Amino acid sequence: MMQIGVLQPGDPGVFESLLLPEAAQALKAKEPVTALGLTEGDVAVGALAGDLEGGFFQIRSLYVAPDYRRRGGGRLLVGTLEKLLGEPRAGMAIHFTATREEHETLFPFLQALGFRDETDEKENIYVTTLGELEEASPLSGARESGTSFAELDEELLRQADRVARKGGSPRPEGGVDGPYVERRISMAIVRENRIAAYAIFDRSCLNSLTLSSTWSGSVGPAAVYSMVRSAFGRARRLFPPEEKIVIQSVDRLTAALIRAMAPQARMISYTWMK
Amino acid sequence: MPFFRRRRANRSNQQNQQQAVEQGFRTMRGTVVSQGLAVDPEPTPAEEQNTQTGAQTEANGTLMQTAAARLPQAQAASAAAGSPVQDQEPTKKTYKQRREDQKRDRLAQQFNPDADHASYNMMEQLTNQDAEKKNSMTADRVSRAVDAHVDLRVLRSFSQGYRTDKKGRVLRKDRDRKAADDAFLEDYISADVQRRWPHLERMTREILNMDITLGMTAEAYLEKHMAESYERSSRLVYFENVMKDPVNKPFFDAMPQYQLELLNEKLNQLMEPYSLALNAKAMLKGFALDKRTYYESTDLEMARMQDNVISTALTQRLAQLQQGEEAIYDRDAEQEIGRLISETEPGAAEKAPQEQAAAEGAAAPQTDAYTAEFRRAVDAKPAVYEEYKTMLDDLAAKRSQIGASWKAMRRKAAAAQTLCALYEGAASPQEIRRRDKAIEKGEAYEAEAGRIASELAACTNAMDFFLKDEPLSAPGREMLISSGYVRELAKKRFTEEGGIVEKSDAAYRSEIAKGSNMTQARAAALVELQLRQSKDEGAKLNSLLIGNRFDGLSGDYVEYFHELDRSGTDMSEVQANMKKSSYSKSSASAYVSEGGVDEIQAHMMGVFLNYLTSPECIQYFREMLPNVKDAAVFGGNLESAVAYLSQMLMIKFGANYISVAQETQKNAYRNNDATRAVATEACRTLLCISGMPGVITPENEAQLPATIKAILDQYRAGLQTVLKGVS
Repeated sequence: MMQIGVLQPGDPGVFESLLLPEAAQALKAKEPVTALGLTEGDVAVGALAGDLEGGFFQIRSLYVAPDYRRRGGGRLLVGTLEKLLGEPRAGMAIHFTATREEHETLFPFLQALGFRDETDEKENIYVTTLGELEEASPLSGARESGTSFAELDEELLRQADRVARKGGSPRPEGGVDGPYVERRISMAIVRENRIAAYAIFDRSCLNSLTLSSTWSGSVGPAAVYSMVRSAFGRARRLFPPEEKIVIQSVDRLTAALIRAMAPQARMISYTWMK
Repeated sequence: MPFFRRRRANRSNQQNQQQAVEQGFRTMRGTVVSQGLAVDPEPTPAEEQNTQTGAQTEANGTLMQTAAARLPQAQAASAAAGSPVQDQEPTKKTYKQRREDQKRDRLAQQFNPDADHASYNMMEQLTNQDAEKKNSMTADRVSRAVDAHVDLRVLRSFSQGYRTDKKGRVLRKDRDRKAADDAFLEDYISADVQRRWPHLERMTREILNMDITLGMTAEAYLEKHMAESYERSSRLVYFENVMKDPVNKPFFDAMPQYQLELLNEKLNQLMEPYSLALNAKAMLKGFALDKRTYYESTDLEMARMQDNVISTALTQRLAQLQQGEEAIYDRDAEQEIGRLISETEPGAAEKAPQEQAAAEGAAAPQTDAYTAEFRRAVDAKPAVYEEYKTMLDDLAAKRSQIGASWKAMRRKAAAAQTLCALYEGAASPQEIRRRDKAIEKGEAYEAEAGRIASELAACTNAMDFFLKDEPLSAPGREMLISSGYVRELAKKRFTEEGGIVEKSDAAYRSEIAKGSNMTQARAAALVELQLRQSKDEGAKLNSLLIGNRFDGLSGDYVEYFHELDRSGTDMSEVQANMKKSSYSKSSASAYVSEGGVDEIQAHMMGVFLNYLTSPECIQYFREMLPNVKDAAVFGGNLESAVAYLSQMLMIKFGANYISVAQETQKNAYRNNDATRAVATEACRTLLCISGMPGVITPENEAQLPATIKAILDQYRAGLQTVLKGVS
């Protein structure tokens, strides 16, 4: 029979392996984290950890070991938390990314417990492949829009980075002229010897080609769209169709851009709430 | 705590700076911190609440208290397999959070254009930590520590520090930390090992339990945990100083050996690379970790390269640490088991070396080799013993050694079980691991003891098979073969009462009695002789006796057909022109001739006979012939037995065209299909010829083409060579 207990602040003990590293560390550092442990006999089989923030209990880690699933353990963990939250209780929220098959099991589980999908499509991480992009619309043959970073002068890139920093425009880790940028694929529109717009790729997400920063500057969305498609075309020439592409959308505009270019792209960042 | 930069030095700014210092703020260039004066009375809860992070913290505290009050403490001895993995952080920063990040980006970039909000957050944590620790490291304590020659870095690393309010009073939440620091620092500065003892125990536990993963050097992790990571690294580094401090020597001298080894292993493997990893990450974020200052600018490419190299090194060291710890626990378990054996069994220490020698294969003295039962069996069958003396003596000695090994293993298994019981109630991770290792060892020894017991049974069975005519088990057979006694085994199986030859003879007589003709009787007898079908025991033993004597033949055939190709032989012509015939109605009497195939067949026969008449193969005949020569089917005729064994060799090796066929599948020849066809037919001819001696009638022989007759004579000459060799 499964049982619930509270984990000792400062010492998760054997439950540590059942928590995401960050949650485990928070618990060990005695941060204000509430953590519950699930046991069967003297075996630790699951754990839940989180804290109250912004009116919700943010579930930072929720996990039941595979051999002990489908026995009500997850339900017991969440149910116990609900009772602890009391009445009127704070809502519960869980944010997670679904990048593995195992993560897919969360959806029916959360639904059964009364959580609802509050995922923001505008601010999300989308995953597709070069093959899927090509399927949606051929990447080769179209007139190329923009210039690849590999062909641009270094000073131009540095200048663009300074502008981005000053203006608070999206820029990748390390900067527009930084070492993590995939220069062969990242594209820019140059006007009057200045970069007027750019679409930058790196490998910051899931170690895959990531469209991490787009800036439309003084050009219109159509030009940005063409530039991004040119970038994908270049990528297709360099990589096989199964190469993963990750696109982070930060607002309504980029979300629309992604839907137009890659209707098959899958969201991977989810927020469920109750 | 706000951070701000002085853009222009002017009077009003200087005055502001002075005011800021008095209020306990700090600037980035030249850290100035408040002295953390402990002022009585203690702040009231109302005052203190203003300094706390707000209702959120309180709400979390309340929730934690509710959980602790309503639920039991979760306890478990082990964890189920599996761990959660999150490949990518979800996107959940609010607009407010992002705006704050952007603000911190700007602040950090005032010092280094490559820094950002993560750099700012890390630096903030570190300077806060410095301030908190400085509250504990008062000037008075520092002075006394210096006088007592106590390492300040040890004190700084292992103290926790505490927070104070605006008036310098310790925060209520941090009172425990202050109390702990007070106790630790005073006891450590005293340079009295007895006073230091409980702290040394705590510090040792911390180092032993310190769990470092590569994920803990990722930027996302360090942005939130830089201070504790730095503290962790410092404690690793300066624990070496703790171990080397002569005042602490009695503590470490009293420490169990395995714990000392674990400590040294961890320090050796992780101390340097972990510190370097944190420094590399800090450099990537634009600041110097130890100095707490920003670089003017950062060579990002170099910083990234350095980071990659160090990350790789850390990964390797983590793996080495895991292996090193495993080896330590393994050694410790072996030592403890050895100690238990010597303690619980008087004289076990004296016995142990002999048994160890026995386990390692040293020959036991002759007088020790025979058990009473074996002696009795030998006495009961002296003739059998004489016939198989070398083998039986060898097996007896082997059995004695195996028996000693089994006893030693059982002893170890029992000691491991005792050790497990001693570790019952293990609490610390190290004790739990020792217990788990003891369990693992116990299971391994049990399994090994079981394996040895099986080996012992196999050895006993093999001996009983000869001395007591017990049925031979599969392990017993394997024992004889692996011990090199195939000849003895084959001899017994073929010639024993009720053995293979007797069964063949019975079949032969039965057919004769039924009125069958000689051909039918011969066929039935040869089936029971068990040499034809590879699945039969007789064929298996025969195969073992043949060994690898004919291994080169298939390669020789392959190469011969390549030579024919190189010399321009047109296989399609040979195939088209060869003529198929047979000398009787039996399917085994088919052969080919003409069209150029005769030379090919003759050459192949020559190659086969080279192997057949080699000294190694003659030795095989000397070993195998005695087993079968007296079979009724051979009518007491040695030539007939030689012919039959040679025919078996031809079937298995000489008439085997498979290797050539495999070459044709690789398109190795000019005309692969024709080559395969010719090789197949040539082999069929050789097979046919090998069955002729003693079977073909003079009339049929006279009808043979001259070329075939020549090959038959070639073969007969080979058989004669074999006969001469065995006589």
